[in-house]
Amino acid sequence: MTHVAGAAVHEWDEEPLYAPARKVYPRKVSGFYRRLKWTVLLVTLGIYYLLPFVRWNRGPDAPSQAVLVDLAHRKFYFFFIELWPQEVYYFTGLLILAALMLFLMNALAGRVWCGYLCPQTVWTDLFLAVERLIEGDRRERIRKDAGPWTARRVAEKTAKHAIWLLIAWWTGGAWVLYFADAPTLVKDLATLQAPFVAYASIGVLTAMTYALAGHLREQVCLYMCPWPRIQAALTDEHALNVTYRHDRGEPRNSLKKAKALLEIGQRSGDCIDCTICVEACPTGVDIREGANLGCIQCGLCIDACDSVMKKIGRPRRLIAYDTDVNINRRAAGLAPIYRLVRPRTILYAAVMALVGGVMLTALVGRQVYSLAIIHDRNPLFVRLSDGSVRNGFTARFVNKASSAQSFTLDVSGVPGAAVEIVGDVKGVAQNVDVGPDQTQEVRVLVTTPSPPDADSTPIAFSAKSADGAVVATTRDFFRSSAQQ
Amino acid sequence: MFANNCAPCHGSGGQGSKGFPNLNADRWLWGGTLEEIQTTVTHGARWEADKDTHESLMPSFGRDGTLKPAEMVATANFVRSLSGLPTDPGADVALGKKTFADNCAACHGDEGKGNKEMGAPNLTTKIWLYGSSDAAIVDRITNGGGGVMPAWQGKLTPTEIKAVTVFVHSLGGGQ
Repeated sequence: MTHVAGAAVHEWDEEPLYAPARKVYPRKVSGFYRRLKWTVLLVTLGIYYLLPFVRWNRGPDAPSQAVLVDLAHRKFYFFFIELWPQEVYYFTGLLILAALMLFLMNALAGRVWCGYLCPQTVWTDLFLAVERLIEGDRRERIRKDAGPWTARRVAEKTAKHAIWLLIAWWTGGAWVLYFADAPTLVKDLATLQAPFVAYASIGVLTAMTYALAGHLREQVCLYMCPWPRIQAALTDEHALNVTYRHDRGEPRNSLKKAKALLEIGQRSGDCIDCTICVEACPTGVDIREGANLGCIQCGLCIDACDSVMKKIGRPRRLIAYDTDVNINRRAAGLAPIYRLVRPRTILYAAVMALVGGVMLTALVGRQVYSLAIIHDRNPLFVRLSDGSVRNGFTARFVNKASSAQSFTLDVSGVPGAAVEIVGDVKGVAQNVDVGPDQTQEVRVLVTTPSPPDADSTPIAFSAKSADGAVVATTRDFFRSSAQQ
Repeated sequence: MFANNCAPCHGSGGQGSKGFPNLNADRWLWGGTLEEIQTTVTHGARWEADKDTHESLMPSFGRDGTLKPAEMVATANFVRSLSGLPTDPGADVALGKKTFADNCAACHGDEGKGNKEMGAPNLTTKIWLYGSSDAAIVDRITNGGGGVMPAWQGKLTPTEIKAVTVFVHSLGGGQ
């Protein structure tokens, strides 16, 4: 290898893999999308912070919190839905639905999730609002950051971080309320009676919120989040995206130069290169460069640009939700077309309807009572003194209803088989009482005086409720010996 | 408790094996009520160190020369017939019946139904601790004796013995 080639490789090697983070100072904007974002922020954060306090009456034996993850009793409550651990597959369905929802949003209107709904966006927005309130707008913040540390500056920074930490702490605090009775836990937290894990969770989430929304901000979207990479595969030429209409904006010229060009009959675009769209951007991208990994499509540049267009008397929406197809059609002098209903969106919606339908069917047809049977491992069967053969089983009755149930157990499939529940008084009907939302395990003996002449015979167990209706069935095998 | 102390002989499921009773079944040499099981666990069976242990000693009729081989085979066939098992063609069941009445009935009863007080097992059931074949029965008559179970008092606390008792009772054979 020659010295020259070696030097070239060396230079290439030293190029950093990450662009250095430059601080973004988003500028204050007002307009339709800003108002939309405030509304979404209020609604989503309102739900998050207040939902644990919403009550839902489930009767005296169940918690009265509308949304509760009861880890101690292994139950999940969501208003009228109550899920047991063996039903967590519902969450698989929810995750499929959530993924498809993201796909559909992307096919319709780009990164709606990123721009409006993502917690990272919402909390960053809130933290930026706090920063702006205390330290001033973009230009002031830049000036102050470049300037010296004064007493006022220290006071401002202290106040900002204190409020940030307060919001972050409230965020972590709201999280733990989903795992216990909220009013009780709030009282316990305040009186230092709450379990250690509650304080630890709050601490971790406070630190995460403070770091992610206060400091990392757009770096999370650029380097930590996989979604910007995936969405490139989900958008198409018909998807609405926040777009700089370069057909209208270019060639960009300053207001003065544009005026001069127009006077001599030359063409000049509507963009006056004021860069307000870049200043307004919370991730610091230039939308005029076209589709951009860093663009979370929050629409704030649309509001910013519109305010300038209004001032200089040019039509608004130079930056707007638009599609690649329409840019090209307008450039070719054709009318824009909008196709929200197309195979891609129909497919997403259809799969969502299918998954949702399956989940709904499963939920509506959910078994309130169930019965599980396990055959004794050892001994498989017992020969009694009169020659009868007996099999031992462990039976678990599950009562997911909010009232107690008294079950009886029946068997069929083995001639002459009689059921006995261990612990019962002989000759008394075998009832298994299971409290509301509880399970009960009992040992069951099945005995037949005329054992089948086979090693293994199918046997069916059925649980009957107090009114005699069969509410749960299950199958197992009755073991015996072919050699009598 | 059961797994650590009883399972080595009685099996992990209390299923027993030859010479070690199946605790799931319903034939109890020393009684199958909670109290009787507790007594057996506490004092053991044929455990010389415990003066309250269950005592019973079947004589070794063959070794002692009390019975002749032909008498023992005949008796074995008669004992099989007590629980409805087929007898060997040509077996002298009448001789067996007479030998039984003279030698065995004192403990096992005239009808072979056993005697809890004597620790003599019921011979009319379908449960055979040492096997139901002619040879197995002849072996019992020849050698006599019986299995030994340790007394657990002193090794287990009374509370532990009670816990084991309830567990054994729940296996299905409890009376």
